[in-house]
Amino acid sequence: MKRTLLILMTILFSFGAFSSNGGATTENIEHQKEVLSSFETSELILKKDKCVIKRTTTITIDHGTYTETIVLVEYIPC
Amino acid sequence: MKYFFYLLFLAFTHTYSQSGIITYESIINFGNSAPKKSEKKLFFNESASLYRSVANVSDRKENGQTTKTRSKKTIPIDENTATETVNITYTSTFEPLYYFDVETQQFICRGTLFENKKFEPYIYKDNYARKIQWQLKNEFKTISGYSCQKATTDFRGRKYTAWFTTKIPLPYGPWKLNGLPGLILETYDETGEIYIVAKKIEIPKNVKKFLKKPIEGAQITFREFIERRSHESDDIIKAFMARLPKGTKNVTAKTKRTGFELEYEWEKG
Repeated sequence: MKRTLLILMTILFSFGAFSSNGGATTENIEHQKEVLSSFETSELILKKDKCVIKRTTTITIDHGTYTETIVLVEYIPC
Repeated sequence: MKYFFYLLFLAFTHTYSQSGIITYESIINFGNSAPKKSEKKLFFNESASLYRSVANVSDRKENGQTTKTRSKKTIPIDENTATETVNITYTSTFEPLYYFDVETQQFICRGTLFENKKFEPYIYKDNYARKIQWQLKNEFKTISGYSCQKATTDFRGRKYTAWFTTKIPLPYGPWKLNGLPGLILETYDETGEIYIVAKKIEIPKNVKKFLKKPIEGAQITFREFIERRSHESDDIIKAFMARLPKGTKNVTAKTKRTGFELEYEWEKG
């Protein structure tokens, strides 16, 4: 009985640990997505794990019927 | 004497019956910012039309200055690192002008190029714009009390639908859209990025003081104007790279261009 209880507790603890890790990872990715969402660079950065963006500069030139947007991303390499 | 006034009245109504002002509401949504809603006016008579922004129609003189807005936001990622986003927008105070001359069949336009951190006006003739090929459809609807017919076309990479009225039998429309047997009161492209609709129709109306050919700016060919505009971001990127602080390891530069025109006649094979 004690042995069964120990196994059950070990399994439950494992689930908890994985769940916690998974949650943290998702949160981190979501946070990065939020930071990057408006700059269309999320794909680039998320593919390269552990890259940290330092600064994103968006320059828009508005001619009226024509706009040009330049996105410059400085980041610490992987 | 009675007939004299009658003839005078007839002459007056005939002169202005084909001249007027259409006020359009323009909603542009190119996706890189919030949808831009603005009012534009089309001034016209039997010999010419001019499409421009409402803002500069009054006596306010265009000063040619460049408006610059800047915003900055810092978001912490962890204890040691923070990301910073900087948005800089340069807006031209020179509104684009589109003048169509019926006699010469020429589109005389004023546009701007961003040079040395400010906008410079240029005048160019867009000879391709007068050759738009429309397909008339057997569909009708009413806009602001005018019966309108549907027409479609492909122009510079966009598929447009236009609703025109033969009650005003002049070949004008908003922006560079022209060449239908009646004035265009509504137009949109299939992506939904461009939507322009007539909100106010003033006919007859004397437009002589507004209907002026654009003259301010250096003359340039349309092709040269487009090619020079497509390189204007290169200088900005170069200047930005030169200003980067020491220790910056890597930089990605990405340019996104959006506008009414996505391709040009000389680019097609």
